[in-house]
Amino acid sequence: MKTKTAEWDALWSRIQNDDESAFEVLVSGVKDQYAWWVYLQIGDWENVQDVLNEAFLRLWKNRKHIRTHPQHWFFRTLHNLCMDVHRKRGRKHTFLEKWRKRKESPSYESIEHVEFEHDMVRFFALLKKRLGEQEYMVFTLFALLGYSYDEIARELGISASTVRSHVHHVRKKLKTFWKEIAGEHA
Amino acid sequence: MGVKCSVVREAILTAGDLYDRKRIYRHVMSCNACQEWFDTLDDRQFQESFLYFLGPAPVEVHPREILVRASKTWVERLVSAGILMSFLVLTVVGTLSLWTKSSREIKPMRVEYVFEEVDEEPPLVESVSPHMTYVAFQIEQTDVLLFFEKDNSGGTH
Repeated sequence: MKTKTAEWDALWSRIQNDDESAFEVLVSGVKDQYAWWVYLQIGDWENVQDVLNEAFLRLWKNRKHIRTHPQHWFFRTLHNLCMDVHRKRGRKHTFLEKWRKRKESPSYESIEHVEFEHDMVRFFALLKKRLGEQEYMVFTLFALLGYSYDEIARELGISASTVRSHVHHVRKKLKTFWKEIAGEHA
Repeated sequence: MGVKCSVVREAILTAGDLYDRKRIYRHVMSCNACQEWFDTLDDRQFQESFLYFLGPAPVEVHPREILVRASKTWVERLVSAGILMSFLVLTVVGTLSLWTKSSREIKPMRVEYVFEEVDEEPPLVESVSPHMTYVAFQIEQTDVLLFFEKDNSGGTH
């Protein structure tokens, strides 16, 4: 089974040589996992679609100028676009709306305010509440984007051993989280 | 849950569609034996199983459309975004509204009256000012009052 990075590597040189079919294969192969990751960051599918389309468009347009690993470049672009969505939302909220939301939920996070239909999304929302920020980010990169320990370490600027320990820690806790969610269903 | 553990594990490892993902995931959530088994998956299997649980994302991302979008010039993008069209529509609407506004303005107009035979009383003509005179008369028991402006030569219009 090829890793996601291997998929990128195999297709990227063709994409840089204007191979549109390689671009199509790449988009079709990775869009779902990135869509879920973006959804966990911003919490509504309409924006996810816009963010993803824009990120892939930029990837294609900049294919000749990207000097870092394309997967890393793409992830950074997605991350920045997610930040833009949060900023735009912030500007839209009036002062009173912000005050009301903070009063209702001091630890306001967009993902906690969406209506979760999918069990897995509820699972990740629970992880976000229970885990530290870094641990949560490590686990989403590992479980959703299929990154290796080294890739996560490079992305977040931490050591691979820290990544390994975070992943193992979360995997050990999975039973507890699942029981908690199963309890909500019962 | 009515789903066999062996079927669940097979579905997870092969990302198969034997049962829907939600049922598979709910089984794992509530089955201790499957959770023990889940612990034994290696990292790659673990990652694949999560992607399997999540399934396809409900978004429309079509690479062909992205490529078409990327190949358009900025003028074409403006047109496709409807900006130019909106600009044209606004220009037309603005011009029309200006035109109708100007056409609604009351313009002074010269009115000429021709007095024909009137069966009633003869008209009363009086001057109200050096520049204005009026004619009062009745037509079929309706009072009519007409004001006329005098020109410099003393004629009325």
